[in-house]
Amino acid sequence: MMLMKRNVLSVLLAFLLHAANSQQVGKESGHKYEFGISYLPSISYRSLRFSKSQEFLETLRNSNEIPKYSFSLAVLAQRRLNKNGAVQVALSFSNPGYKTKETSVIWESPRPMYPAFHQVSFSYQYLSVAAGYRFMLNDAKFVCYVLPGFSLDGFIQRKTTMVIGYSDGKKEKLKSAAHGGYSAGGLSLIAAAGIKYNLSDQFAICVEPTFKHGLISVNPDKDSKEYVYFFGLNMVLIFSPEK
Amino acid sequence: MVKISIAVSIIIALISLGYLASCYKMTSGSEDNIKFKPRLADYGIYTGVPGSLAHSESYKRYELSTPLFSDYAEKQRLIRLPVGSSLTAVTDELPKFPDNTIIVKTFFYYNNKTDTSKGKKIIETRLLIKSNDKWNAATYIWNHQQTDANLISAGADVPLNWIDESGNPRVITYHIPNKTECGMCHRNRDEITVIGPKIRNLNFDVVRNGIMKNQLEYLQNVGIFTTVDPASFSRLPDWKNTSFSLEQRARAYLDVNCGHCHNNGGLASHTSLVLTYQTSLTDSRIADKKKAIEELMSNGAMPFIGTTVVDKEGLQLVKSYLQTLR
Repeated sequence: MMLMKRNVLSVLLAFLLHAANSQQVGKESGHKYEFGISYLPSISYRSLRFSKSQEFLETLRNSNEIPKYSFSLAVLAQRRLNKNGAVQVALSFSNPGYKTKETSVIWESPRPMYPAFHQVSFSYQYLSVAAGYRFMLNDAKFVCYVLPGFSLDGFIQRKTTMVIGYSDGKKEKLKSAAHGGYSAGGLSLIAAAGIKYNLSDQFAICVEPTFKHGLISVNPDKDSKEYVYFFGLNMVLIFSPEK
Repeated sequence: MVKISIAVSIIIALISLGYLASCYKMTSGSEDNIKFKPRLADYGIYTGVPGSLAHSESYKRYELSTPLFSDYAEKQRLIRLPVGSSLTAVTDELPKFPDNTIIVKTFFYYNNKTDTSKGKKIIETRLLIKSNDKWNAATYIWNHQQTDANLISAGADVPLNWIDESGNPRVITYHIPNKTECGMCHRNRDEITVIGPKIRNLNFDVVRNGIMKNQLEYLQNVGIFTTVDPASFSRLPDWKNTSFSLEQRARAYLDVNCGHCHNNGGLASHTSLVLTYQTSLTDSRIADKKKAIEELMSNGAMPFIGTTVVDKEGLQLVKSYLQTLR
């Protein structure tokens, strides 16, 4: 897994260096409308804001839970407003959450074939409509930009995946989903900055470090606020129908 | 083009705001009219070692003929009425509970169900307290030492393991519901209500002090009910008792596990599927929706909340019953 990540980063770096050294500059597309698809692998977690009476639970959870990998997939559309700015809207699916630390299973009378450990991952799945303003900082082969925005998040389900491990290395997964009991709607802030590279007149790619933080607690309880957030690298392929 | 874009944006914004407002309405819980105590011990429910679940004399134990499936958890049910009051059974439905009634349900797992002397792990205790004609609900999570439980409102996930009655090791992530989830099952026409202790679900034989007797009579003897004649009330079948017909057992299972939402005032009233036991087969629309029932129960999508694993035995019963329907 680590080797694969290193290879991907090497290819990306080589590509960026090659592109940076190319002679073609000042060719930022002035297309009025652009469309794209994006994939955003990320690390997600949650922040807890529990009232005094629930602090024991906050402490317990903070000692047992850690960030998990998550991802987001989106389709997006963009309209250029002026030389430096464009409005972007996107429809995305994401699954941020957290997981527990790997924990040994204690049996009253242990046997070799009994499960030896477990780890549980919790994902809040959302369908979101996001809007942002892409502010271009330059006009070159590489266009640097910042992209602040927000999203309205519709809760789909909370998915629980328990990995049960055995002493012989075998693993099994138990999955379940809860569809109710959580805030059905959410509002999140998005902050991103990125580089856009024009592959041709019609195609471009963007690489955007992106941070998204929920502003509405996933748990509607007033004494136990829980906000989901993630940080990741958004990779966008952009297409323009205009030549 | 610009005007169209602005108009579309405004429409999307308005729809989104409306959606968020409806989401808030759907998930906001009703306010309690009492303040729950922070620790379960403050209610004096248990005597001696709390982990033994030996209860004080003022709380009376009751059982249900067909209980709700909750991820194979064992349950201890208790009721306490205010001094000098008792319940009157009028119909097969819920009796009228007086103010200050406390209903207690504690969820636990035996470490080894083939040998219950090997101890248990208590997970949570739920309280329903009636005050000013309104039920209030709270959940307490037991500590690791099993000496007491703390009030929680957020819900929690508790990984746990046990040996089941067949001697197989089981590991699950038990989910303690948050306050909103409690209300999803316990709410009927915007009011929190009790679900389990309907007269028909109490009307069966139990063993008390080594003697088998009708539970309604027993509860009358200990002061919970005024004079009650069990023969004048119907009985909800025990879904595991094969002396009842397949239909009776399956309908009892569906009533207890699904009927609190699938009724005219419940969370799933919009589905037109009514799964209460007393509803006729035609009115229930079970036959019309048998494919959906089987599919949703098989993939764990139903029951909507309250479980993280499929009740294989219950599912098999319902599937067998559905196959008999045309």
